[in-house]
Amino acid sequence: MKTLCSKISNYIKTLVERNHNFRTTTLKDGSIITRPFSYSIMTLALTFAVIFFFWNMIVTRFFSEFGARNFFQNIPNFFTIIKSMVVDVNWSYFSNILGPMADTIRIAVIGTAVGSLIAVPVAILASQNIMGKSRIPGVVKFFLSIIRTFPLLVYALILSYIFGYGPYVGVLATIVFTFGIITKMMYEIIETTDMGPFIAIEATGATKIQAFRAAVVPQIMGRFFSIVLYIFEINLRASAILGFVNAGGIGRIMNDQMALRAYGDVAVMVLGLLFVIIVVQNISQYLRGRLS
Amino acid sequence: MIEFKNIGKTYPNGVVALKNVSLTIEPGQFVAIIGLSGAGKSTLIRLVNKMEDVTVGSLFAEGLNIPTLKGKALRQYRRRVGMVFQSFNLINRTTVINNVLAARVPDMNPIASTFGFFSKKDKLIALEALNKVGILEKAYIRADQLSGGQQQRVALARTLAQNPSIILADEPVASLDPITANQIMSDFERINKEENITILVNMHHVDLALKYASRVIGINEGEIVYDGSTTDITENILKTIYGRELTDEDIMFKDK
Repeated sequence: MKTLCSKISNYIKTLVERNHNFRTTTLKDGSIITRPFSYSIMTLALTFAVIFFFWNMIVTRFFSEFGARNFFQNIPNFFTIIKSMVVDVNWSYFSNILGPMADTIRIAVIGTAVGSLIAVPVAILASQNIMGKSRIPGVVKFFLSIIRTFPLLVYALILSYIFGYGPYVGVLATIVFTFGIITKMMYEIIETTDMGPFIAIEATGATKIQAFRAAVVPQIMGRFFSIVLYIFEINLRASAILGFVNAGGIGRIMNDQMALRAYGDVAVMVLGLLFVIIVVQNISQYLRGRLS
Repeated sequence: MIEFKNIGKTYPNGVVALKNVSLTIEPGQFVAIIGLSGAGKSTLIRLVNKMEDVTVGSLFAEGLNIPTLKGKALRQYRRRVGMVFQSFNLINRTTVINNVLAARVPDMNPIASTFGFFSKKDKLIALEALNKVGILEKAYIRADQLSGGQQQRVALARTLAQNPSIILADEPVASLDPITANQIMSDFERINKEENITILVNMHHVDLALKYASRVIGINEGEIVYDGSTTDITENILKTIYGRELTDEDIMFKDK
């Protein structure tokens, strides 16, 4: 693939070089300046090719396998559920959702906090600019990319096979998931910080850790908390469905009531979840605004 | 005392920065190193605190064999060698006093430094250092709100706060205007005299070097072509350092 790409780009290059006069500007005094070949048009063309490829595939499969008629015929079912949720809304169920909802919030809070705390030292180990010529960052990044392969739900599923059922499985899954994302985002931030102050503090006889604390932490602190808050939002939304794989929280009873077709109870849960998520989102947005 | 003996430095990419350099710098001297860009001035300075490693030859400073220093011994030696950079290298997002206190970090206990708790004594050292360079009143302002000259003074104060016996300055005034450059150089001169700190400074401005330093080392293509007092410098010597005669246009700040 790579050789093919370079072959194509070389071909285009030679084409361009052969009649590159339109890229060359001659000034009054005879000075000549040539604009170098730009890859941007090629990148754009490639992007469209990829989109077209997938689009074509998905649309074709949609009409052949799934069946467009089937799709359109089933649309009214959606409104049937919505209707029964609105008509039969069962407010008395509200007291039943409080416990699981608190579990969901706890899972998100503890999972995010612990996961991001563990992420900090590992993110430092993964930063090439802090670790110098060491090979550790490469190895750490490799393992991190493996951790990031699985989504939260898959972790919850795997962990529930190992540790059984309950909210603490949700917490464990959230920790692993949070850890994977935050280390990645943090080492990218650390690797792009201004290293001048770090070098200066190291030159005063400080260790790498001391120099990191004194010179890098003030630069990345705000962005770190901003990322943690954002991941907390994501985790809260995700931990609502953790219960579907028996990892605790509101998802567990939601799964049950849906199976019983008790849409009136589900409606209360959806509204409760909506309320909590909107509140948390607004608080987090406000705090992140203050941080930046 | 800093002693270079037949030092050569070749970078991994094959660039020969220094060839057979031998020098002795006595304590308390104010030495200016001049030469064209790429002549090896920065390398010479960065060898002293082992920011670069010597390729051949030996280097002694403060009675220590510098190329062999490692780990804790190197860090303890670096406590006594201050460094000032062209780009100041301040921590922009924090206050001036926190920048100066950063130089105290290596002497602190790890828990206090992790949480950024500085002792009264350290704070006093930092404030005294700021006072010595005349920007005490800026102590609680964020570093990125200062002008270039003020930032370089903070960097100088940070260096003073580590109580060094040697200060290395890598083009400290290259990004400053002529008047501020003069002020910073006179700060260096005063520190050199009052605290008896050895100062090695890289410079592009020949006239500033001649005005403030007591000794000038001229480097051309990695070799020392002049080493002597500022008063003995002639047009001919400058010609060997820079490869051609300096005209009035090359001298940025005429003194007379």
